[in-house]
Amino acid sequence: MAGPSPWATHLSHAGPCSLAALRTAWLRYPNLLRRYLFSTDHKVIGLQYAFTSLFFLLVGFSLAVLIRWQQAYAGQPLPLLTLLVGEVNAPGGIMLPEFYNQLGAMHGTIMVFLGVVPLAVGAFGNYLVPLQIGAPDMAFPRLNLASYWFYAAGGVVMLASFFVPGGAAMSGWTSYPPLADFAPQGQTWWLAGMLLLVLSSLLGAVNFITTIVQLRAPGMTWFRLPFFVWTQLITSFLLLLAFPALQAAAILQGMDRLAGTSFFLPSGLMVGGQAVDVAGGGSALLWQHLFWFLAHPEVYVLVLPAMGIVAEIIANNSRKPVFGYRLMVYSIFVLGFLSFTVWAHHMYLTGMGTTISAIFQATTMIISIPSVIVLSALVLSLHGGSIRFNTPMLFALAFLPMFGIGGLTGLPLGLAATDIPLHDTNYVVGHFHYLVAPGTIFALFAGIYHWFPKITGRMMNETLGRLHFAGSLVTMNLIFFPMLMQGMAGVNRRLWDGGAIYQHAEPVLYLNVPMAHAAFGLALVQVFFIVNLFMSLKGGRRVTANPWEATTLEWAAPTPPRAHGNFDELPRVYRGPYEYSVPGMDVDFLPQHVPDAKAGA
Amino acid sequence: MSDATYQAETRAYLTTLGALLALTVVTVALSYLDLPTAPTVALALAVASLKAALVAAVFMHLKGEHALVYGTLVLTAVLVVVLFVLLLGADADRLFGTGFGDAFSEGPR
Amino acid sequence: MEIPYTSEPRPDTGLTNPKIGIWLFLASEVMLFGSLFSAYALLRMGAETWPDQSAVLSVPLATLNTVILIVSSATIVLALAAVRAGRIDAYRRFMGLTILGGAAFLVVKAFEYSDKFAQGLVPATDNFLALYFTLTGLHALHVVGGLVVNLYLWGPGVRMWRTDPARFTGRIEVAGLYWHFVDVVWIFLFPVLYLL
Repeated sequence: MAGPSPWATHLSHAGPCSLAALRTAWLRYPNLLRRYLFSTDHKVIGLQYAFTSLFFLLVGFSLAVLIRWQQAYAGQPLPLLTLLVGEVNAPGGIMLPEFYNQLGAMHGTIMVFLGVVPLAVGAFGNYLVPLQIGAPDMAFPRLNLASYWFYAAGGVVMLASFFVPGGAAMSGWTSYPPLADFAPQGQTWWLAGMLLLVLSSLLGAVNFITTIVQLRAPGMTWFRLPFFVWTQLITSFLLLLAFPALQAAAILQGMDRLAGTSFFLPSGLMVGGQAVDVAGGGSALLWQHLFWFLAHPEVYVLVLPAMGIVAEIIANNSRKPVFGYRLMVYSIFVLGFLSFTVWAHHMYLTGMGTTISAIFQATTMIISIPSVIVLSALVLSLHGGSIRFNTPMLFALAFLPMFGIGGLTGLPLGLAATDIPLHDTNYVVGHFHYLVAPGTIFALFAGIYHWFPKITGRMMNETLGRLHFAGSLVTMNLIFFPMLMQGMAGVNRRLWDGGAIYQHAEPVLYLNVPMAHAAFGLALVQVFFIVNLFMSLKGGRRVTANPWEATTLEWAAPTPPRAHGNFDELPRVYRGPYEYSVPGMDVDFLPQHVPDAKAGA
Repeated sequence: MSDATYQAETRAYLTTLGALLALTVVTVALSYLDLPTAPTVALALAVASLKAALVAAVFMHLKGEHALVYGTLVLTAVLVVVLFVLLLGADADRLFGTGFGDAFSEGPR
Repeated sequence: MEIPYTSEPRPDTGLTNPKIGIWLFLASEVMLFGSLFSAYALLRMGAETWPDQSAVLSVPLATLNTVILIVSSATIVLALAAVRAGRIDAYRRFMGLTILGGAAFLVVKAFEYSDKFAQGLVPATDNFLALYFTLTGLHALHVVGGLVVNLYLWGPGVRMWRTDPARFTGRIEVAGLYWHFVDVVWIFLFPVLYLL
């Protein structure tokens, strides 16, 4: 779309009473709407997902910055805050504990369900999977459109909940009852938003699996699929079969809140010194079981696509096949299945017996094996390669140790004896942020820098990219490493005052200040990324269809790929995905779609 | 499709329908027998499973379906079982009055 | 560019896209109802007292509904057989019967609900009624969804029979699979909620 938007010019002349103008615009620009808002083309939908989820990542991150500010300067007035979040939430610039709780709950919800998963699956999956398997589109294009709009609706409901009386959900992103059963109405909005997001994910998962199974190009056998496609396949199965448990749990909690049932309310429950007037007989642990039956596989939904992206980028930039491709594929199969059997390691403190606890500890230790195999294979892929240290590769390389720290710090949490003192401390927060922030989000950044030239035909700026990388790496570690230290000192998470009331927190309390400063720094270096993203759209260096000299099919399509159909003619596949540096060849890469006769020359 | 196969198919569906209705009568009749709890539950669920299997095999044409569908359904069934067993197992002592919860612990309880 | 395998099966999998899609969707539905049934099991086994279910609810009405739903499940597969045999009149007859069955099921359900409400039995009364209303309510929503689809395929959707019969047959098959699944859920709900 070149020049000023026709929307803008048209509407600016229409004046305030623009209903008629909108109608005219609708009639005059139906193509525009069909092309950018209600397109069934997987690439457009992928980009819609990308921009929406990046927006939500920014929103969720802003909440986290407020959290860090509050932890460091609890109770101190910040006049700007009243301006930002209103007199109700921060009278005189002092953040109220109720609002702080909303920040915690909604930061988690937004980052996981509206930011990272939609970016990893909705955006990258949608854009790349059909291209990488040589398909003209997703199997069900209209369903794809519907999933995006369910997602967008879920996002709107979640954001709107900040403005209802009592504010947004404030019972943690896990929404544990009985607390959540009695929370203000924002919790009901949370449940409604979550049901929309679940619906979106289920439709998306059906679509992805069908696409990968059915629409592979001729010659694209199972073990010629790029690893990224495998990760999307397993991820889709996790979404498909784990999310219904949360769907069920959300329906039950909705009934508790709206119809007065007591699914999660035990008999004889007292709230604020008063006996609650409900039938009772429910079980609060039922929610935890159903929630974590979803939420543990959800962890792998966050992680698997990241591994897929990193594998693609490492193979391409080390100019070598990934090490142990088949082993990696088998590993993520095992990983996917086992992720359904470990959920109660989030619940060691609920008083379950040692037998069940032993079962879950065993499965938890076993599931670390396939994760380690994949990570080791990625590290070994570097061995002997001629590595190009460009921005996507830097992010992908940093993913490996960061994800490693996240994984290793998880082991003490998987064993009941060590989990009991660490449970619900900042150690847990540090652990999963290492996995998701410098882990998954780094992989997603890597993916954006890597595939930007395919989407736009232009490169992103390398200098800004490096500044973004270095700044993010340093600041993220400055935020998350102290969390591990605080947690081991016993500082509880979710404390409005950052732990000031606890004497045992005293020696590590000072860390809150550098953590806050690092969070501000992290916010600043994201400016490099945002500027780079928008500047490169118009001003980036123009490149050919395959600037990274890559082998997979998306680079065989024209740049940008054709609307509705992708390829000039559907490709045929002759070999595996990572034929780099094949001995005896003139070039160091053999694309999947080039016939042997031509490649041999 | 030829007329003969159409007739045969229709007959097969009607026979299945008859069997399903008969099994419905059996379920209701069983519930009036006032058997002890355990056999009542077992019988009711067995009959229900049989009916569900008939619907799945004949009406949903699962008999002779392709491997991919079987694979998906088997995986799903396994996961439902995992959910049931571990969810109820985590609370087994209270629910069933077993001593299973701390079976690994030594010494006096 | 056309999306391949929307109505003819892919040779190596032997399946069409919609058929894989509906089975995957049904798999997620199995997990949804599986989660709810496990909630039922946990709450009932953990309860100190549990009402005599068949005394609270109406077994005759539920038996009637079971029969209605099973018959409608048979008529929709007969409708599929008719489409496959090219007998579009028979198809419309059987699909019409299926829709009548679904509607009758909902009418009976409405009688049951209003009867309970009239006796002051609501979801908040106890956990058994909470589960009863939640499970049957969710199931009824599934019936409504199926009715809408079946109505479309009986009415305006039947036009596709002339333009693309293979794809139309695929749609009837998919709608049928969903409807049978709704039937299967009821086959379990009936003994679990009314008889045990």
